[in-house]
Amino acid sequence: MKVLAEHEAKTLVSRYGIDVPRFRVVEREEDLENIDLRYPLVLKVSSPNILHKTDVGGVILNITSKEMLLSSFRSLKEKFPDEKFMVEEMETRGVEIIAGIIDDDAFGKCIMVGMGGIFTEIYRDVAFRMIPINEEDAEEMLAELKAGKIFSGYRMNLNRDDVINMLMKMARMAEEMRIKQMDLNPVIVSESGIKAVDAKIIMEE
Amino acid sequence: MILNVHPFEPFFNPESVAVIGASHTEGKIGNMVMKNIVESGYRGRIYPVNPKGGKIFGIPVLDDISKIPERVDLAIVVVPAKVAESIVDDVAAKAKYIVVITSGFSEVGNVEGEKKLLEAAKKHAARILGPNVFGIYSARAPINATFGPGGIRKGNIAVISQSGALGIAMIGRAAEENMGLSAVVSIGNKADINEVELLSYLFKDTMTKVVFLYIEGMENGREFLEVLKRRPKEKHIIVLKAGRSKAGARAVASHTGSLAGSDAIFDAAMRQAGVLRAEGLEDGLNWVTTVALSPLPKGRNVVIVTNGGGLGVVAADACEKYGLHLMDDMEVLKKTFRDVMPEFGSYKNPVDITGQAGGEEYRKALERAFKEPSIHAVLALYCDRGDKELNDIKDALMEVHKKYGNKPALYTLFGGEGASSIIKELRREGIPAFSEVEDAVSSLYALYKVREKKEEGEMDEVEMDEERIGKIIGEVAEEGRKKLLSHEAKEILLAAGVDVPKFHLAKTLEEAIKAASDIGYPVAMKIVSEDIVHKTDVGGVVLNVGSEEEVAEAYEAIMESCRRNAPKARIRGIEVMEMLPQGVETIVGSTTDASFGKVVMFGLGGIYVEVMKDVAFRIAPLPRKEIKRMIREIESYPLLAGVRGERRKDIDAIVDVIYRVGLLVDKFKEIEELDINPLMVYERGAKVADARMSIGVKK
Repeated sequence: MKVLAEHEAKTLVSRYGIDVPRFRVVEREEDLENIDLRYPLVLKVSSPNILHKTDVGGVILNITSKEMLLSSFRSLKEKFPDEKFMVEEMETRGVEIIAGIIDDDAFGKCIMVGMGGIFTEIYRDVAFRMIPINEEDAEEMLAELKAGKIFSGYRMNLNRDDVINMLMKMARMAEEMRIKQMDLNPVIVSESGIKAVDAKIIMEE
Repeated sequence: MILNVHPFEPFFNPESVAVIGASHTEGKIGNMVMKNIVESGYRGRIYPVNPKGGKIFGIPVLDDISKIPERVDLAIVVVPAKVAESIVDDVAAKAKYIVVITSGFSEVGNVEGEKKLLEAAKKHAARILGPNVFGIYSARAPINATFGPGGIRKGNIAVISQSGALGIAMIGRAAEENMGLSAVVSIGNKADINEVELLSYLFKDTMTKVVFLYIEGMENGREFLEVLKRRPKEKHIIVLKAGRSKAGARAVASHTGSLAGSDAIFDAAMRQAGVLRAEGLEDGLNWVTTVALSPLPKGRNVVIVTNGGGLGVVAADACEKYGLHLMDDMEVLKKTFRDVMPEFGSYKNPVDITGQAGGEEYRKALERAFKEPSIHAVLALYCDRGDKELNDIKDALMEVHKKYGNKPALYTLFGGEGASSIIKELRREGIPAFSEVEDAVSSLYALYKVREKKEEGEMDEVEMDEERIGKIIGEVAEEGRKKLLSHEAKEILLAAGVDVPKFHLAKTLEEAIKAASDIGYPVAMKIVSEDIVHKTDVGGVVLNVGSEEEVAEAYEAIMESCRRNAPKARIRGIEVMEMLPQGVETIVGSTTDASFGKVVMFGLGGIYVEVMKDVAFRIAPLPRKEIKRMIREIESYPLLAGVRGERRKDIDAIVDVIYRVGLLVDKFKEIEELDINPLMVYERGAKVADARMSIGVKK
């Protein structure tokens, strides 16, 4: 089993055409000098050794100025002196969903989509399919969700096709690569498309 | 002398009965009713009436209603609608209770005709069942005054059905399964007598143990709820209601209104009364028979005894689905079952006495289960292995079941025709037997749930400035408005003792600045106009206003953009209010239901309410205890109770808001709809962030 660092996982994901927020990898304070990203920003540790960044205090959200960025970096660097970091544009508006791939003992590679946050935890509002899937399968998955109707013109102008496209791309990734497990959580869906805000990928050895 | 005779005693136990429209011709309803009365062994006086005279089943026929020699307890009317309308006055003069079997009244639009029936009854202080019913059967008399099948067996199940056909089908089914009935009444158009009065009798009737009620709609939800709440502990009821949501019939100006399909309210009322509601006919019938036949469990430990591992797992899964607890005390299980099974059997629950088990093994295992006091209910399963053995099994089950009647035991025989015929035999012997595991498990669930009568809790006194509330409502009504402005709604809530953060309606900039500094920065500012519904869309809201200069800026900006975007709107001013910190957003609402009146609703705010419809309703007003149950009912309750390391939120504060809203809408019936959306809930306290209210004509 090989865990990818978040920046590696995101690079891979975006190579398959799945949008991620704009980010830069930084190792030293000097790397922050010419950061050309839009505030507010997020700073996080990006390491194959740390799978649950938030739990170890490896994420700082809502950085609104250069000074804040510097001080945030110093404190994270102190905590994780040997790791790499990501500076990333923060996505603020949209609906959180979760998507993933697992390699099931009995059924092989499967794809999952669900409503994020409380929906996953409390309502267990998720849908699974075996890979490969076609677009109809992806549509059915969304229709299966209890909260699925937010993709059919409910209040926010969310584009269902963006999510379907993402699922198709994920399924292709799963077929072409030796992925053991993958989590895009959360993916933020808004009028302007989807953004995978966090990505975890575990590869087969 | 008998004291406290229920007014419906003559209805269920008539000393005399007249049949208006008794017929000589076999197959006619007037003949079938006569035949049923005679054959049911009715011991009272019978007066058939038909202008032709003669005799029917040996009983002399009177040729005119006026010739009935007494005021009878019960008159059955089977003549056509037009005739019934013209003679009803004469009948009402001669009868205390009139069962109008005749159809062709309000159900086909003949409202006038039905009114005539009612007027006649009123004039003579008589009561009417129907019209459009199939009659009444009562084991007490006994009397079968229906045109349904005869040969009804006396028993402890009472059936009230709004549908005649369903009632008749129930009699048929009861006969087939040898199920005993104490009463069957169809209520048809419910012109006069409805389910409430019948229930109040049946809950006192010593013959009745369980009532099966089928209804489609009701107007008197409140009385219905009351009679259900007052039912004695030993009387049970299972309700099947058809006719799902008619949300279109309700005003849907509020979230609460749009979420309250009529069925959601009915469902809430049943929860409030602790009444078991069946989803479908099959479940309903299974449940009623099981409750009628079986003692209730005295504890939660269920044991499954099976001859097949697979069937045992299916039953265990079903138990989990229905929330039944499988006995898991290994010591007791081992002690009880180890030596009644082969070495390769399993005493772990499900207890697998293996495919080798025959009648003898079942007899032993079940006997043990009945004798062990810490086992409270038994689900015995048998996978069919051939007809010869089936008979042994049947004998064993019958013998053990009859010997130990002390705890519920339900049987599933899974297999072919042989198994089906054994099931029928067992049922005829009054043993709850099923062909599907799921049916047995759901029936056991019914035994657990049917007596779940909860402590109601008490209403306490709270302070409310009723004068002030009345005054605000009066002023709005005076202006001919239905919708209250946000500050009016908030003032009412404030007067009702709900925590509303500081707010002020400013008519000038100076007033706004003063209000903001009184309230304390930061503040939120909102346009106030009855003509502007979506305030944000017209630029009528500015949040996080931090200083005097910002107030001035915001004031101008709001006024300017509202004048531009809504030039015709009447502007009352700008509301300046405290900015609330983020809490858990919830919604508390109230709406007015056609049959249950004022109801309250609770749910999590925003998308959870709208997309997941994760809300709970109750009939208002209601005690705090019941409100707590209501809050726990929503699926997202863990968010309030504390999840993922979050602290528990102030649930008592929510309870208090709902309690006060319940009292408020009960006292001020003019408030048709009310939404507190959101009610921000914190670790300490809950505050109204926004409120809407609309009033109607006082009822």
